[in-house]
Amino acid sequence: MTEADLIAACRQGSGRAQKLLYEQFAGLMLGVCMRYLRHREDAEATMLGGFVKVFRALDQYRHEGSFEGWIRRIMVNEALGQLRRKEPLHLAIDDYPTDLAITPADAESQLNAADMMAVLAELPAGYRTVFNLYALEGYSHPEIAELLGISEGTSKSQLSKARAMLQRRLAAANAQASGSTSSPKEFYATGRY
Amino acid sequence: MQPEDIDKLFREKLQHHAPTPPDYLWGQLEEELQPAKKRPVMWLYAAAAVIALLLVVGAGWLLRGPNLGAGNQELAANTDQPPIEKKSSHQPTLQATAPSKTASKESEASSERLATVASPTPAPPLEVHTNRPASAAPSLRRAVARTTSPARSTTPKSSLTSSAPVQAVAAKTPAVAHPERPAVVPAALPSSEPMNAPALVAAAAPSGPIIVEVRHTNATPGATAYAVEGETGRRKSLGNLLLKAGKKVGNVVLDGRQINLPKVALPEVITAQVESYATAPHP
Repeated sequence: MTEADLIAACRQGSGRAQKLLYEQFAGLMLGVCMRYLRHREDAEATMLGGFVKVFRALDQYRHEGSFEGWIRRIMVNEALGQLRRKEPLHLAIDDYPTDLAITPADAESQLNAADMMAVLAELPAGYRTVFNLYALEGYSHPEIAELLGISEGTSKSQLSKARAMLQRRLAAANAQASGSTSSPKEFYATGRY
Repeated sequence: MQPEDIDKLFREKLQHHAPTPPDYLWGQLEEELQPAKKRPVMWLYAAAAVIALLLVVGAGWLLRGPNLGAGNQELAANTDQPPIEKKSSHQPTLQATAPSKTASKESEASSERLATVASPTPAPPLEVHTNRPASAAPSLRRAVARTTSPARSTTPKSSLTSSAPVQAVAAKTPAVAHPERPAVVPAALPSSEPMNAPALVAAAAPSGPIIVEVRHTNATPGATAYAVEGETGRRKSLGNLLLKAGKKVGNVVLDGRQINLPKVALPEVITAQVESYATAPHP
């Protein structure tokens, strides 16, 4: 069953097709939602709300661009709405140093996706949101500014602060991980010696 | 490390990061998707049900409304008639019984029949009487039998004039037992008018004011009549008798299913029924 067939079946209200489509994208979209929302249950609720919107708005999908991208945009919008309710975006807060920590680029490779998610979740909601939109969703600063109702400059400064904080956190997490679990061989491989 | 590197790092790691969602989420989503389809249908059903209900109720009201109004008119006519007829002569009292019974029958007897009953000729009551046993429920007859007990107290007092009423009272119970009799009896009634009439009047007239007669029975041979009945063994005090009388009156009304009858008309109803059964065994 191709994606177009699946979409057509979903439009006709087939419960089986809806389940297939859900199963195809649920994990990925839960990942998207979890990047925006700190708590897992919020992310799950957001994903559900997003899928409800996907199925209701399926008729409006014109097969322009990827279907996954279309669903993802719906999910991101849903996540932003949920974020405004759950974690007000403190976009004006500026109490973090902006200088970037200099660490080896390959050091972060030790961290798996779950660790990265944890690091991301520690970011303030504003940083996290802008970083997500820019670095992972590929939105431009003007788009982000419009989505969040902020200025372009704010979007840029938020992004740079988010990057700096992430880098520091990654370095700390990496040091912890390598210090506690890595074998000497890995230390050698990572060039620490 | 360049700032873009960290973007790339996160993108590579998290772009295809797909945690497995818990299974119950699909159930929740399904629940949320299903009602959207079902709701309009449910609303349609609800609307249809409401409309149907309104139609049924409206139709019922339209059909029953006029009948109820006619029934009330009949009742009003009945309540007006008996007091006048009683005073005038004996036969009218007989006729007075007829309307009350037809009313208690709760049959949708048309006003024509009532009109014929109300007319002073002896024949129409006959029709009514013959009709009654066929349609009247046994419970009604029982109620009549009970109501005769307070009226029975009148008979000893009126026995001074003639012994016929006493016999009538004594024979009341058999009349109740056989439903066919009332049908036969009224046919014979008009022929024996002069004979029965005084007795009937004597029995009927005092029964209007029930209380007075009850006092007499308590002290006089009326006690035997109660003994025969058996059911109403209590005759110790006046109060009990009065209470009984009141209950029986109520029974008549309830068993006759004529709830609409005003309480004012009750004593008249009693006399009427007493008469009918007093005349039953007499010939």
